[in-house]
Amino acid sequence: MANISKTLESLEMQTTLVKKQPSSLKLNFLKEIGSNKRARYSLFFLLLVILIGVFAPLLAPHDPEKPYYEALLHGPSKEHLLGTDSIGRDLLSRLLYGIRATLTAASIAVAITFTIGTFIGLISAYIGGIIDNILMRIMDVLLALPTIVLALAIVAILGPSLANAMIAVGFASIPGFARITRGAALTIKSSGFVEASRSIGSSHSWILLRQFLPNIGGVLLVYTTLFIGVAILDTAALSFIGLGAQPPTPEWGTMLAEGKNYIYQAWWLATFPGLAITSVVFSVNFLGDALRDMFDPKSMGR
Amino acid sequence: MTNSRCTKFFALLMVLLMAMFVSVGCSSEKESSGEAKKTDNTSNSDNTSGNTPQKGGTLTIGYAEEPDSLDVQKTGMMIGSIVGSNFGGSLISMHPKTKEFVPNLAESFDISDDGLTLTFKIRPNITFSDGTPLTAKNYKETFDRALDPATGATIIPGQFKQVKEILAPDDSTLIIKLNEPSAPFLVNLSDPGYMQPLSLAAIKKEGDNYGRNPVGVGPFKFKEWKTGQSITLERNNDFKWPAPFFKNQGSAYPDQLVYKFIKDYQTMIAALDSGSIDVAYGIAGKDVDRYENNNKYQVFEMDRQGIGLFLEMNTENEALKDKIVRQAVNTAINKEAIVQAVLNGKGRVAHGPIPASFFGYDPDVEKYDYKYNIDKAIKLLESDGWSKNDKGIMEKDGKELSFNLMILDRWNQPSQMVQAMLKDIGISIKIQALEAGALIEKAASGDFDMTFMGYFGVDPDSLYTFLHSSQINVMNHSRVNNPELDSLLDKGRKTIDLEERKKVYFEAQKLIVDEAYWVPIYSEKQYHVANKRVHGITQAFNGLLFQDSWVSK
Repeated sequence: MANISKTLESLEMQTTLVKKQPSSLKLNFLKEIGSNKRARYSLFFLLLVILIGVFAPLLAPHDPEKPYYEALLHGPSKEHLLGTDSIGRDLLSRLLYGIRATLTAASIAVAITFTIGTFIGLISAYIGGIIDNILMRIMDVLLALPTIVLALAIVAILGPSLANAMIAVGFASIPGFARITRGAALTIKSSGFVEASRSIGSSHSWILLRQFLPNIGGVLLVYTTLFIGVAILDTAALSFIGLGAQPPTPEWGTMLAEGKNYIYQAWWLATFPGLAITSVVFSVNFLGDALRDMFDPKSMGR
Repeated sequence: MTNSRCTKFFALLMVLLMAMFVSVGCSSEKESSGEAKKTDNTSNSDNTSGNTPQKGGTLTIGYAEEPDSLDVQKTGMMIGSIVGSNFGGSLISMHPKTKEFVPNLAESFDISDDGLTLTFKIRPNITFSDGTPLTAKNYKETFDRALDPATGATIIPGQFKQVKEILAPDDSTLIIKLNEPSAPFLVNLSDPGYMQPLSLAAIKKEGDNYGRNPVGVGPFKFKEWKTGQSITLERNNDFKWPAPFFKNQGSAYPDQLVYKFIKDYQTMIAALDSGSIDVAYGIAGKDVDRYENNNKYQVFEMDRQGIGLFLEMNTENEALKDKIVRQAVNTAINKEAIVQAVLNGKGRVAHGPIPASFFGYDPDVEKYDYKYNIDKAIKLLESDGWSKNDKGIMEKDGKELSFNLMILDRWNQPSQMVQAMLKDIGISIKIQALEAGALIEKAASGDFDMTFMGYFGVDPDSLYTFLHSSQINVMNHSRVNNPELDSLLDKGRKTIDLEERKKVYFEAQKLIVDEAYWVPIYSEKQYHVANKRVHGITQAFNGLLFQDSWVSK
């Protein structure tokens, strides 16, 4: 009898906790974003960029892959607002279309990192013991290599293409993400409500999905956001050295690389893609930073 | 691995370079007039006349590739010979202005009336930097080593094909007997890099390490090789046997000559601008104006000998073995636009496989070649049964016209132009950028659809290397197996009468253009830029000479 009442009690506790967590997360999020200037502006800018990318065919003045041979390396003008590249393609159109390649690549890379990284981190923290040890030592070994080197190795095996670059960047970032997830999950693991759920025999997946995930959601959101910035930079870097997007696909990293050779003749070629990358990564990081302050000013606000 | 691949690539390039030298008696008027033109830009750029040369200092030269070996007989890379020429020398030299052959390591030479026997008197008192004296026997041993298959020499075996025997009756007499007279043989022999005498004693002593510790008779001695960075040579103070056309008949002026290897083009430019290198080889046409208009720099201009860029099609590819498809590809390429965009107009369109500067170039090719015409190209394909599918790509029996195009990084821009041009007629191109070694390997084995290529040469015999059926799996990347063309190219090699020979190549040219194995694109101008703190650079037909050079401090 006492047993049953205890079970009920803890069940109640669980439900309240679980209910409370996500809703407070959502509310806080929207409210704070609204009140945090940095977060508001960055989010607004990013949404705008995404919209421009989506509507690129409507906004772009020219076909991004069509060369105008009579307008080689023309500077910014009425016809070509940001000038043309070395084979006469319109830079503005390429930049707008480039949003698609660049942001898609970054989001898919982050999706890969997030899914696998979270999975490894959670499993590691939850099971602990030898599994934890094995997984984390593997991650340690991978962490010893800089992300970009790991990504380079993966692309070298898969062959150069934008899709492979996304996969490479995604996988290369997993170790870092898994460690962060594990760290956050460990603090949840020792908390009372998890102990309670365990004692009443809740299934592992229930505990993981309904107790762990929501409670480390804030941390994950912050780091995911920050990883988007890193992923944009890394895919652009791979494209810059010719291992990412293949011509004639407009992609910011590739465009930057092509512009580099004309830095003396045509400043606009490297400048605008560079500015585009910088501003997007900047606002993503800004957003991530603001989120970090919001969620846990004490432990992560440093 | 990469290094050996690079070697292979340049070896092959060089093989064809000499292959055309090999061809019989081709000292045509056309060729010499072409060279005469270059003589005009031969500048002895002592701009600060009145300044007397000073000893000392370091002359630093930037080059994109690093040699594989400094054993000049084993390197197939141009840079191997360029660096090697500084610690080497040749029996005879070509005067940079008059283009006449003058004795150098030989104090005199004589060619018999039938042109078959060449006799050289070796200059006395020449010593290698390790102290051993240079004798005729030594020179004979040098060539014998190159001709021994066990050595694995890259260049000399091909260039010495018509050599019957080499004799050294005494210490100062070297006799080379030929099977047939050959003017290009002398040109080859005048290369101070590949054709320099070697100290067999040093080779024996160093063994496999010789390639990284060479010994020679030149104005400089090998000092140090930092792999991936630079090679340093230091002055040979005993040197007093330069070619007679130099003002400086003693040892070189600079203390050191440093070759820096800078792979990235933009880095090379930055190094030149910052003064960390004094001379940069291979500056692109687009950047030249900047240096020409800057009185801190001197620019050396040379015409490309050969076709700088052409597109090879694999005739064993299912679609590309169809001549009409190849002709359509040819018709769809706007070469003028490529010359404008890529070379900044500093080069000329290639109409056929032979550049206009060569003997055997038929000016008629400008009339019968493929003129850029998209509609005509599309009609050609349609007449052949191809039609555009809903993706806008030409298709026949469920097969699409889509190809891989292999390129080196530096051909990125023209490759994207070709891609866009072929897209206009419904051919889809995927660009694949490769390392030089990987590209040449795939091209040789026929593992490709299309590839970019370029060649150096001075004679139309180069075509033998690229299109003769015996060269399949070597340099005949297009895997052309055309008996009619084979017989023409064989005939071109053997024919001595110039008029007759010219006609053979006219015919070959027409056949090649009609068969459309290649899309010849351009022959570019090449530029080397030097800081004016370097004085007295001599421009020869194939590079820069530094014997008169000194650096102001």
